[in-house]
Amino acid sequence: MQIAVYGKGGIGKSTVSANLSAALAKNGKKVLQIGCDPKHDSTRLIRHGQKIRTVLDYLLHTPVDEQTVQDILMEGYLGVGCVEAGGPRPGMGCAGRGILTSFEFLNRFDLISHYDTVIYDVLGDVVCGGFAVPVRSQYADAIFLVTSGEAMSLYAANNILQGIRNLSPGQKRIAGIIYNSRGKGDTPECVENFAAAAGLPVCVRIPRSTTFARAEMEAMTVVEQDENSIESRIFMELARQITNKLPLYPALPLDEEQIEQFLRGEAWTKAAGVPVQLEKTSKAGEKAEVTAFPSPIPQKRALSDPFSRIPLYGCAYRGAVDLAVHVKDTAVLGHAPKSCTWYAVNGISGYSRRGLYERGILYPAFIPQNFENTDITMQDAIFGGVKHARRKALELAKRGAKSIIAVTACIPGMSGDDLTPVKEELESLGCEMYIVRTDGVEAGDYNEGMALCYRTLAKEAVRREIMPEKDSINLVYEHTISSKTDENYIAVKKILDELGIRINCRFLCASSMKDIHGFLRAPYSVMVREDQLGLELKQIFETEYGCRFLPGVLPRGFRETVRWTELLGKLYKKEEEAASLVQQAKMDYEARIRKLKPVFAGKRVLIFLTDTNYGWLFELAQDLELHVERTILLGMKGDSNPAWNRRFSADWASDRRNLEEALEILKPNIVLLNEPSSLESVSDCCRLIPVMRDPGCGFFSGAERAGEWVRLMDRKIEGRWKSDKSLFEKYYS
Amino acid sequence: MINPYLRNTTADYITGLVSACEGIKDSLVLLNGPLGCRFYHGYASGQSLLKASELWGLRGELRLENAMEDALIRSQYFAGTPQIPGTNLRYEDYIFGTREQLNRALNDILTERKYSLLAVIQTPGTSLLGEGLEGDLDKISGEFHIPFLFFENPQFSEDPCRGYDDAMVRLLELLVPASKCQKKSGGKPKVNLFGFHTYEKYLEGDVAEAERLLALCGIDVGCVAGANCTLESFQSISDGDVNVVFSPERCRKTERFLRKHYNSPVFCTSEMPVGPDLTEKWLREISALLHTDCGPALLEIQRTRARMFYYIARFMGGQGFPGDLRYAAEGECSLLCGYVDFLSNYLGIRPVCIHPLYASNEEERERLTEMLRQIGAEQVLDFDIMQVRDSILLGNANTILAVTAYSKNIYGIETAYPSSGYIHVTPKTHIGCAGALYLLEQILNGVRLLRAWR
Ligand code: SF4
Repeated sequence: MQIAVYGKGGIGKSTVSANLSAALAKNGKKVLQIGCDPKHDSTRLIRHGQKIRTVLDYLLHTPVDEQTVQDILMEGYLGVGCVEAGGPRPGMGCAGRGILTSFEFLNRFDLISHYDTVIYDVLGDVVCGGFAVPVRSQYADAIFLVTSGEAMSLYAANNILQGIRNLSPGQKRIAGIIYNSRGKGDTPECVENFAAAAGLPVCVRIPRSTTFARAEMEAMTVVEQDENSIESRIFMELARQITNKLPLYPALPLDEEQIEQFLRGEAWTKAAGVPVQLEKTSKAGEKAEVTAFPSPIPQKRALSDPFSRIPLYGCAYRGAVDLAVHVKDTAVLGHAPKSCTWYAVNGISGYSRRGLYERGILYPAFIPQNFENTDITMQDAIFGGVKHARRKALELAKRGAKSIIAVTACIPGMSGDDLTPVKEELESLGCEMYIVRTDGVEAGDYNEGMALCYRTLAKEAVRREIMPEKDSINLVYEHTISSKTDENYIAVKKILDELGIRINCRFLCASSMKDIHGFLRAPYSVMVREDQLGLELKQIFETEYGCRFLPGVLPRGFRETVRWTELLGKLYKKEEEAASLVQQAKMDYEARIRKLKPVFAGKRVLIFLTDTNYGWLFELAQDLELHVERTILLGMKGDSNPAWNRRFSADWASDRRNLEEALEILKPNIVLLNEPSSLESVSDCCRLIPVMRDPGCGFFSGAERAGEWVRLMDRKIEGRWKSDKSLFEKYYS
Repeated sequence: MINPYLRNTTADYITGLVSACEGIKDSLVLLNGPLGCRFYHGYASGQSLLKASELWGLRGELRLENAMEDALIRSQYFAGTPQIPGTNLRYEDYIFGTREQLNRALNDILTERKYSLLAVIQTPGTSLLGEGLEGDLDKISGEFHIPFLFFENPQFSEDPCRGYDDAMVRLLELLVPASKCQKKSGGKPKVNLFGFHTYEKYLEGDVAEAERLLALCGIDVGCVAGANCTLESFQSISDGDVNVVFSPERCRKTERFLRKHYNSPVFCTSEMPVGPDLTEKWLREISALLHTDCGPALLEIQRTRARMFYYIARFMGGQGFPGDLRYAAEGECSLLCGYVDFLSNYLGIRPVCIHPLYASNEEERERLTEMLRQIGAEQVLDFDIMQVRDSILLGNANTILAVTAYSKNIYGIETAYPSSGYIHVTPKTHIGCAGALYLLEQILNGVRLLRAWR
């Protein structure tokens, strides 16, 4: 039989467990007592004060292939087997996981099967999953709750009942209450009333007595010290009850309100939930009275809705790491299990693997050469992994890292690892550390992780003492994973080079920590794109450092780029250079459009878009002399921006069916749409052209996109492969 | 600044668990965790298999008859392959527990279609919660009549071989009870193959080649565990006459379990049959064990040798491969033994770096060391792969990329996932006769390019 003894810390459950083990052993049982309290003193009385090595301490210091169960199993009074699970120091790591790990270890050696009675002595203040392990069906057959009449003790007992009910709803697993009197302020009625309310018997009542203190001083159980004492007889009686098969009861905890009222000296009757004083004579264990209590309805909480969230690339840890690797001269320290980093690194390297294969281009930023991971182990999770992270960080510093971005995953978040002391220590060694505390998913999804990394570096890494230098500019908030990033960078750099303006810092794309420190060197910055996070970043730079930004984002299409170049010319006092650049670009652009016109001019077009950032598309349509029959925008008219309304008219549609209807009526030659999945197919005489939201920046980006459309204007040949769908289904479904 | 090799480019324990469980056809492998933990597996695994479920997302005229319901397939449970969904947890679920969300996901998915097996894997975060979810899974399993496995401990930073091995033993315990062992009598001998998994680069081709060569030896293949085998075929593992284990690194516990619980002998291949010599050795040994005639297979090997001779002689001339040509390889010990035997002992190319991955035991390392010692190259064991230049490199695309980025003249031959993205329509392999030819083809082309790049 396996018995779990649960109780609030300090309630005397270890004394009870030890005495019970002793009494059972005296009854001829082969007993194993397992202490599941990080305090690890459960078996002290059985072992006459001799300490034993805890399982967790043993696992921490012994190589796997040298581990044996004999090393942590000790014998005590009458051959009682003694094991202490142990746990981390208070405030560190995860004690619950510690209990789980200890049980996994004991299972490896099938220890439990060698005993006929097992007593688990479990801390009941915390009923997290780990501490609930002994309650799981493969372990305790019967559960005792040790409590006094004090409010907090009863509260803890009720919590434990809740935990048990959640783990094994409806099952009868509670043996009853062991009332351990604490003397003053502890009234037996409270315990009896609670027992009655929860439908449980009070199995034994242990009086407050100096016998326990005397036995404690001799580091032995009262059962061993004086078998004829009243206290000893109580435990012998409990052992007898256990040996004679205990009746078991279901866990019927009081709900929050009920326990509150109860602790105020009131209890609940079934009828209308009206609090009334319970009859003091109500007999414990008379279930009929109490099972009728309204069973507490668990509070409903919103679940993570799998049908509503926007799909992203992963968790915040991954988002932060994806961004951090872009700081070239800085090491990234992932404080995470190998799993998390393996997923993250493959996400990052996927881009460069494809890049090399598809384009023969090596993207060094995506080959994370400066990435180190702490490879968190189970021990780190249990005891806290700061030491481990510190060692890795110091190694990085020793290998020459001048700055480190540390990103934390879920496990350190849950174990409460704080890397601030490591940061301070590194600083004294001349190595900076920036801690991006995503704690895995705590910070949210991928985007939130990126945001946190952006914010941390924007606020902490920019040096205030730097003086502005003329003729330089910062690019802020480039896409880090986009095939367009390089193209855009090259296009904008070309314009800036022509004007004699240097790019000071790309925040954050293939930049160095030195660039970030020197962000304020540039008198102006420009946002590459703008969304909510982009705006927030801009605000940080403006309010924290008084940075000045060019209006809007990098220009798309010819006209926008002309305006942007002229503005740059004005701001940097390079009007002449700007004018000649624009003039040259104009000639080139017109030549390109002339070439394209024969393909597009006069074609009737239907445009279907899901947002309004397509000014460049309408300008291009105008230049190509396309005949825009109708523009349908998915969304509400209120979503539109004024500039859009002034320049282009559009129908606002609420769903994709409007597109199909318009197709039917208008029969256009071309459909330009930004979400190709909106339309499965079109008629033979119509061409479907997907358009990107970001056509790239610079004078010629629009014309270049139109150049790519030319091939799509040819008649599409429908392959016969589609008719083999049935064969696929026949052979592979 | 920091040598990136192997610091974070090798797979983890969960990958091992997933790849073993996913290897049962129509199984549902659910990762109980946030999107982060699931995202990678959703996209990375099962690439070497042809599965209808990968086309469930098609709409319009191409929509498959048995495609999953549209709203469900587009939900966040499924990003990437529909065989490996996740519960899509948020941080609050870590605090309040994951039970509700897990139940919800399983009910949504299992109501929609029938799966052969359910495996629920706790991810690093959820494993810390210690929730006893077996009760719920037991209930669900009863309701939907589906066997289930619950992996509570993802072992954090352990390697995938251990994960695969643990999962395989759990699968055997669950699905092939020892009491069910029934040997059929008469007919062709039948073997089961172990050690393959869905994360294998050339899974389809490897299995096809092993089956083809064994068939030439008069041996049938029953179940190929971990390679999209049906539940029924897995359950009939105990009928096999011999259990053949490839990659002992992945099958240490499995091998012991097979020996202990089933009556059939276990034949363990400590060197992958790469190249004609090891293929011949492998087939001779199995045939001897089962008393079959491997003559037709040996004939096939002879033809392969002849073909290889032609290409080597024609393109490399009388001197064979250039004396200054080098190769580097990473992988599990048994695979490396295969490559060293073929590339060095058969083709006559010197290694520059041989890097065993994952927890190889002493015996496995020693076998590899001995092989290298015989060609006077034991110093190349564990040589820093990032220092390799002007060489053929056999490894996964992450390693090939990292070495290419920081070295000179590297011709990469992909042997494992992750890959560069090249789409293989024709099944390829590096084992057996077909494997020897394909590998030779890659090497010959590699030599040409390496010469041209100098
Ligand atoms: S969600 Fe947490 S456990 Fe999962 S990959 Fe992200 S950091 Fe790791």
